[in-house]
Amino acid sequence: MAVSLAKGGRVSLDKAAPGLKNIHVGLGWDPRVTDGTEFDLDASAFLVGASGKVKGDDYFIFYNQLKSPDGSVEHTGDNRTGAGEGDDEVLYVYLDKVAADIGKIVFTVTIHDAEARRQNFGQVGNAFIRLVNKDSGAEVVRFDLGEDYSTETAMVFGEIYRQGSEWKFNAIGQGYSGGLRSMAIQYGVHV
Amino acid sequence: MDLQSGQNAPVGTGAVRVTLSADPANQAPSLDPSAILLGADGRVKGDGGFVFYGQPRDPSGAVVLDPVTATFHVDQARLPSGVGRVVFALTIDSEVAGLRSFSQFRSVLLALDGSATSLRYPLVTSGMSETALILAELYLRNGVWKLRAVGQGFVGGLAPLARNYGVDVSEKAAPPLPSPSPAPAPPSAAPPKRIDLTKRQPVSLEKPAQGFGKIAINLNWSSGEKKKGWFGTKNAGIDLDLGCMIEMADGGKTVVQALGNTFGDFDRPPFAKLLGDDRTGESTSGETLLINGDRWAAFRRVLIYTFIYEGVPNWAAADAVVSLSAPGSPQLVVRLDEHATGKGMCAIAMLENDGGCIRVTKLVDYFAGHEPMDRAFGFGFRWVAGRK
Repeated sequence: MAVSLAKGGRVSLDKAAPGLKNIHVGLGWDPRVTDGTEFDLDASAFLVGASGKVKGDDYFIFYNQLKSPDGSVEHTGDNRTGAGEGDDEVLYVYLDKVAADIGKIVFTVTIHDAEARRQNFGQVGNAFIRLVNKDSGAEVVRFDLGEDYSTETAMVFGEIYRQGSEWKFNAIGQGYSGGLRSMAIQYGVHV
Repeated sequence: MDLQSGQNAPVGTGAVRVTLSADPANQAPSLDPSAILLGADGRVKGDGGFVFYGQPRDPSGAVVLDPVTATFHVDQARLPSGVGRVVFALTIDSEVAGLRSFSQFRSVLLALDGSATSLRYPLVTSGMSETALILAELYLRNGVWKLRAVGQGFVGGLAPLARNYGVDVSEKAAPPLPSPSPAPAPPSAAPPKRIDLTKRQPVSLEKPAQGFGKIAINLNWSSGEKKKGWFGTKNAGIDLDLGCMIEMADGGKTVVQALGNTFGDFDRPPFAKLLGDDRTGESTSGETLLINGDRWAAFRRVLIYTFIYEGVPNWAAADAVVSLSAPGSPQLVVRLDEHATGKGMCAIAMLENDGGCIRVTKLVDYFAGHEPMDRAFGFGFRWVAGRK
């Protein structure tokens, strides 16, 4: 039985899914049902150290850089419309490959070209992030963002982080203005 | 507090009023407000959950539309169980030609007033090719009613919007809606009824105890520019006439109009009278046709029409407005601004005696003249050219 978290909630992955090694991180949202410009949402991951900044620019995983140098995080590619059942974009995290100096992996979703298209998260329905045991297919934890957003154009959905020897998941649901660029700058990526 | 698209805010406790308007306001009569009551699955709760001009209240009475002011009175406490969301939309009346999309409005506004809360959602619509717009949704979240500004819509109008919420619609003429009076929930096995979105949707005027009184149909228009030529003033104006074809309950048929000097009589058959003849459009009150509603039992049906007596059939330039008002009923307003139809005659509305009630069906059908219109509606008059 998967753990369902509310905004701010935390769960120990070791306790929720003992022996979890390889994680399927699914991010989803409902596509636009009305006419007009499609919403193009992009999931990204930032592998950050103790400073809260990325270890290097290539530790920013997004549609143009699908794999981290250590092979610990892999992006399965861009979904341009959000159409289809289930997860709209998926990243894989191989916990065994995460270098010791990486303290947390932050998962974000940004609306592509939001300003020009006059779009924001308040217009996006049913956004979620869920962690699935990639090996067994069992859902471990899920966070439905519900209304934890409004006129923001960039969101931190959640993060997995080390605490001592174990990994935990934190349901963040924090929104920002700006797009992927400002999100990247925030985590110390040189863009 | 002003909301922007995507933003939400709590509406406080108690019932609310939601008013939809547009700028410029004089175009607003051609906008149709609607509200859709949704269940948890985002689908309409029965066909009664679609509140619009053809059905101005839902069966629970929780959502009631005042079509004159485009205001919805919403009492959340009375909503049927399972309804956690009410969507408010504006649709361009596709039968009013000349209006193509919301880009022809500067902006639209949704104003919500509650006991302690006022929320406004102004939306600039320039550049929007949609013809149906979801302005906002009122929804229950963790026990609190909130309003979310949406500002998205459909290019194809009310039909795709309604379908999006599971309202089974037909765009062709369909059987009239069942009476919107509170009815027991239909058995779940019954096939879903189709809601007809065409303007053929009749509105039934319930019979007041004291009779319908004076039913007034008014036509007003602008005469167009008076052009000054070398040889003096040439009036390029337009003369519009108002009239009606009447079929009495006893089968008798008559026409009331200025052409042919058949002005009728209010107190004696045909119980309909045309007041004067405004030949310029400059009279502020225009032309008025009165129907004696207290004698409604003597009528079978009345076809209200207007025609261009003089001047080119350019309805857009005439900018004519026909209104129908009966005591105790919302006014029906029809704006005739069809561009260059080349047809000088327009059937405005049909009034039918429906068991003592007046069933009003808005038509806005253009014809080349009296004869083809008569044929279309099957009155069966004999026509000769007339003058006045």
